[in-house]
Amino acid sequence: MSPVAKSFGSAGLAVLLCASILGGALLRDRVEVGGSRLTARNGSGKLLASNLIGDYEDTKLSEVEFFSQMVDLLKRDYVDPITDDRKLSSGAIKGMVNSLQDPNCVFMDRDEFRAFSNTRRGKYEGIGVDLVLDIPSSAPKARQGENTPVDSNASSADPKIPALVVASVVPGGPADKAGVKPGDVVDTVDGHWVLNPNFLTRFRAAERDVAAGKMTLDDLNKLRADLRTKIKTSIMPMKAKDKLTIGAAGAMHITFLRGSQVVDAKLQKAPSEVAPVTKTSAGAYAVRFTSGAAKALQSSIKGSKSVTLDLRNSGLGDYESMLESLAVVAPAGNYGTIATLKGGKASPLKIAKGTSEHPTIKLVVDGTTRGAASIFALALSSRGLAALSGAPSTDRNAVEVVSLPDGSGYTLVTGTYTSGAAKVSKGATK
Amino acid sequence: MKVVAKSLGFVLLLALFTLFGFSWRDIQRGSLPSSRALSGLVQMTLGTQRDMTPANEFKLAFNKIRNDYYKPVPADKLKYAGLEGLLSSLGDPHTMFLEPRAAQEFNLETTANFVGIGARLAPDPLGVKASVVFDDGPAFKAGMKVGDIVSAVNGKSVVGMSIDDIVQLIRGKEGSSVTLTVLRSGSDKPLKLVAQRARIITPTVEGQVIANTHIGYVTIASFSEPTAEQFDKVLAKLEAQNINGLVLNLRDDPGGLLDTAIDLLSRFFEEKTVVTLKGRNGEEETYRSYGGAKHTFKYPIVVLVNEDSASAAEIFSGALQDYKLATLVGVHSYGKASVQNVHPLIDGSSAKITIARYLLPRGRDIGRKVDEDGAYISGGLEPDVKVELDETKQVTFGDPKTDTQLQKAIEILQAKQGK
Repeated sequence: MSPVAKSFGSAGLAVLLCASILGGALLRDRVEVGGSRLTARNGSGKLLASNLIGDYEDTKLSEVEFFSQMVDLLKRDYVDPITDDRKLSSGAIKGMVNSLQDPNCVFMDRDEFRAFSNTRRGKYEGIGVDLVLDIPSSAPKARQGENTPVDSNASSADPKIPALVVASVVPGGPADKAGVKPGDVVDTVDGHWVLNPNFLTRFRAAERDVAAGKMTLDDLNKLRADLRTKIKTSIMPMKAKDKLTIGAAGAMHITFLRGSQVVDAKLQKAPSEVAPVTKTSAGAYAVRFTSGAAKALQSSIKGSKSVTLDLRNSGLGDYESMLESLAVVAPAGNYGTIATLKGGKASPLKIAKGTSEHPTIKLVVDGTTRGAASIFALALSSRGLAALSGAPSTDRNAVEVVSLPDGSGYTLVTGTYTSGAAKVSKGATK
Repeated sequence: MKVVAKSLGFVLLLALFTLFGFSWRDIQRGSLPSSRALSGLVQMTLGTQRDMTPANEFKLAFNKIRNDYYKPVPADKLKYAGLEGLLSSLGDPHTMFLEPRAAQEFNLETTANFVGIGARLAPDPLGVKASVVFDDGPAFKAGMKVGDIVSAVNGKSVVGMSIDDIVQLIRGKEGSSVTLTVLRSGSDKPLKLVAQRARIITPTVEGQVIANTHIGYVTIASFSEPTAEQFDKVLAKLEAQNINGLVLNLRDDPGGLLDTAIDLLSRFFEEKTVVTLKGRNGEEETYRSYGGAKHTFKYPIVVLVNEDSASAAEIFSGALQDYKLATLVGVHSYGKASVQNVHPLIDGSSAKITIARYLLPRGRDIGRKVDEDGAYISGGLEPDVKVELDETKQVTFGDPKTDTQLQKAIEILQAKQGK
């Protein structure tokens, strides 16, 4: 090696070494950017009021600093060693999502989210149903000034107990075979009562009757005792939902409420599957907005001048799949608005690249046409591109699905659909 | 071979320099890199997303909900919900986050003094009913009687309002006045009472002699700072009436301060173990009763417990049971076998964190076990004599006609006197 080459070589090495120091420092920035810059040495120093010297008001912690300092505090003090930080952040996210008290914003743990994600591909576990938590609009409300006796245990807040309702049934799945229908309310699961508002409504009515002298106090106390034993063996709606939708084996005994009728079902959990598009005996296409719906729809309706799409019993539906499917049957353009309740913040429901060769469409809809399917129906009819056979569900939420690194996830309502000039075709209202 | 060694050495040198650069921030401060930074580095090299530290996950979700949810969400409300979720993710029902308002109320409960009118109120269809009027309190001075129904506060009707909201209206600044419109049976016109709000020391101990017996009935409602002193006063009053048996009612007593339980137990036994704390690293700490406060009880004692007797109330009852100083009657207690520390935080909220578990004098662990649905499996103190209440009947605690647990207690005490 020539001396020149050698000196170039060593200069290069020196540059590389310097670069590696700089690289290390940059790496540190990348690791810490966005996160809390507080080191373990600081611990929860800023969090505790007792550590404050001087003025309270001057110290403000950002939400994320508050969070990480709380984690440090737990690590220092909690009776059991804390091994899994991720469980803590998932817990915090669960708390935030649940605080929205919105039945369409649901935090799901790993198992729940796996089952949920599979249903978005048409694959079901459990008894083969989609379940929703419904807060009935007729739920009892403790209004101020209303002269109703207040149960000593009831709080002033609205008792927002949701009912667990079957949104759709997988054709040929265990629930379908047992005769379960969309709209059925889950009342008991393996002998455990599922907390629902019906009983509370009954109890309140009874209390009013007692106040009005139409019922004896003894009967009320019997009702109270009955409620208490029921509550002792009750399970929360989310827990019941898990039992019905997670796992692919095992026997279940479920009772459903259908109107005033009680439906008793003994069934066996088993995997079930439903294709996004299936031909019905009436010659219509039953559509579910699962992944692959757009492609399946395209190949099904290819060449047809007119088609009938059956959107009943259509599952929860995936908002993105619905948008893709819309582009298969409709030309580009705006199809209404996704509105928010945040001071006029709204965005159009827009198809960027539609189709010009769209068939005449008839849509079969009813109250089991929910969420994405409901938006699909209203969007098409708002532009006169489809005739509706009835009124879809009022659940018209645009729902985003967020997955978290530990396998859990949650849903978030980002807006509700309104069709600018909503025109429902003739014969639409029953 | 030489070339391999050389390049290997160089790569090592590079790595060392990189690490030096990485740690520069800490070297400047004269310390080693924090574990958090190092674990971040490890996560990064292992290919996990760099943004996905738990703190960042929290931040992402916080911002996502604030920005994308279709309704406005106040930042504070969301932060507190997140912290509540964080603490409850530990699966310990007693580790919890208290937002500022709840923290303030918690504080009132443990110190048992607040500004008010000095009455205990119960829900009523027409407003609130005075169930207890504290002697010499503002309400007492204003002429309020037990059974009075408050139907308006400062002229504003409270009919149909929740008790919490009504209490908020009644409370106020120390020294200010509140006008209460009161319905009293036997008077055909509503009365207007003016009470001057004052700092109230809540009685946590109340006592009476049960009619037609010589048995004292003492309710300890909670274990607050003034409880032991109040207990002494109530007991002295009862003993002046020559009682020959004592029922301590700890049903529905949610507990309170461990120090108060020790204080109170020191009336019953001297310099003996009350409870042994087991901390997170297995270290043990024994709390003992102190000498010099022992009282001579010349009569048998029954303690009443139920599933709402918890924490300090269980330590108190359990220690009396272990030392065979009292007979426990009722149903199993709640089973809160842990001790919490309350940390006041900078924004007025608090974190209540379980720091240790406790064992009763004879080594019993009474920790509550629940199944996945939260239903009780085991735990709590087992009563010596089990008596369940008939839930279909209206029961008034302390009324020997309807309170079957009290009936049993009287029976046991009278049997012991007969001996």
